[in-house]
Amino acid sequence: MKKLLEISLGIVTSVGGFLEIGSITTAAQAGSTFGYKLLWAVALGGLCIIFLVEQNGRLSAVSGHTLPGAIRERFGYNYFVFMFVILGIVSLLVLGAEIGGVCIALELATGVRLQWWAIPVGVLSWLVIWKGTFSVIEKGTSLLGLVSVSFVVGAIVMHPNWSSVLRGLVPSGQSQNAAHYWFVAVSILGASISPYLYFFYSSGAVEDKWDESYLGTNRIIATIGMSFGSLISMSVLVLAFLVLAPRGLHADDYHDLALLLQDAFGHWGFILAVASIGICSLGAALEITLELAYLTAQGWGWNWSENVRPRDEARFSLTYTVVLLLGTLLVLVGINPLQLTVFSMALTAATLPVSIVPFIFLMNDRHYVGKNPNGIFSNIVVLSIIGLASVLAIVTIPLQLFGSK
Amino acid sequence: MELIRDCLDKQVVDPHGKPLGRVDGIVLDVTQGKQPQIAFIEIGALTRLNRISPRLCRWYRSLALKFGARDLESHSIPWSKAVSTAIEVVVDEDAKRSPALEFEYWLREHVVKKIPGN
Repeated sequence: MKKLLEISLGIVTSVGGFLEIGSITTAAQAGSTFGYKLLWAVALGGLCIIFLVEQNGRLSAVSGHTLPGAIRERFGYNYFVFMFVILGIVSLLVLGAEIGGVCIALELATGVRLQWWAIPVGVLSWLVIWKGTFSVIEKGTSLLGLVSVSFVVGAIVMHPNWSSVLRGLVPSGQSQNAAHYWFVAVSILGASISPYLYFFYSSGAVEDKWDESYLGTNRIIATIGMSFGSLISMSVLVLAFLVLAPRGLHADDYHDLALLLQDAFGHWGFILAVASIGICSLGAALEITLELAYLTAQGWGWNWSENVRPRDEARFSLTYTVVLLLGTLLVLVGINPLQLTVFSMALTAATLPVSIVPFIFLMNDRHYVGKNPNGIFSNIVVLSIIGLASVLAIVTIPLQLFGSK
Repeated sequence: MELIRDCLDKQVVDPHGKPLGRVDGIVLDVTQGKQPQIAFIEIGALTRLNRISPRLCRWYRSLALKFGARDLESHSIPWSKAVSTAIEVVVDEDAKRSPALEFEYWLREHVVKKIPGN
């Protein structure tokens, strides 16, 4: 019974915590510009993140190590620092985008310009982390984030042409505006395969004291949670095609995002869309902030846990304080949050190999995964993800130059 | 034991499981005609920087001295204090009094304790 409750809560957490400003924006841009043609990218990203999250959970449950710690031990200090710098910069940009997402929601709700919200949002996020425990942050924001399921309901209510939707799941090219098509595809993959998701998950497994008895739980949570999460992103894409495209909108202005549920639910649709953007972005901002602090503390071997008082882990708590300050500054200086979002999602895609290549080694190292290493199938999947990530790393910058709007 | 695989970069903890840092460096005692022995493990910024680039390490040292830093040397723990080296390297050194955590305790007293709700 206890396990069943844990599994349910884990799935709810994964579903509620899946959507964020990056996945909303990239899916909305894809749907409003290319119809259902990019649904395959959301599905592919979802599939990759299922495998990566499952393997991270397994690594932590069996070895008691988190991913950053294992990477430093297995690949040495110099590689760790290289990964830290790259992930640190990308995660900070994504954090800026998420804080911007909360500010966008607040501007849409109140009419007060988003820059004015940067400091209150930064302070609120800091207070939640400073005073809250890991489960309050993880489960609290995710439970509230379930409001984003309204996108799935909205998409069903709008009666899309299901055969066209299914055709969108099959990858296809695009002759017109091809550079932009592929740029959006790369951004979707960057938004779906977020390193912060699996780094955070790995720390969570250690925070929640998982051991080998949790391997089944881990597999179910990763598979069902991430699948439903991807379903929400797909619904955003479907809605963007049905609602934004007929109005000639392409989700390049954040006001467009508030309209996504308007046709399905009227004024309530506006409230649900804004609440989803705000809550999901806040949840993501908290997770990314913690992920950066975890990455730092685990790599350098400091005290770390979101479950002890800040004074008992001074370096850890000051790290997340500085991280939040920097993320807030990005919004405060007036960078357009939507442009920052699209840019940071593409950059995430470009830097994926740095954090994914270690997987193939760690998940086959019996010092870490004992009797539970990757099977042939899982290894083929990780190698394919590495291949995909390497292609993304090569094509992202040219696409950024020629394919972004 | 394979030193690089089983010791270097591993988490160092005290007997109560409190983290002291990671094994940033290993100092070997090499005497002619004898098998090399581990003398110390080191925890400290200079050791880490030296692994990236000795020049970076020298540059950091001179900059830190210019800004008035006093005790820059990495903290050395005699290998005789190592209790076990399974998942973590457990050493017989109390985290509450370990020089490896000097900066952590300084930050706690001078910064974090001054912030409400700590």
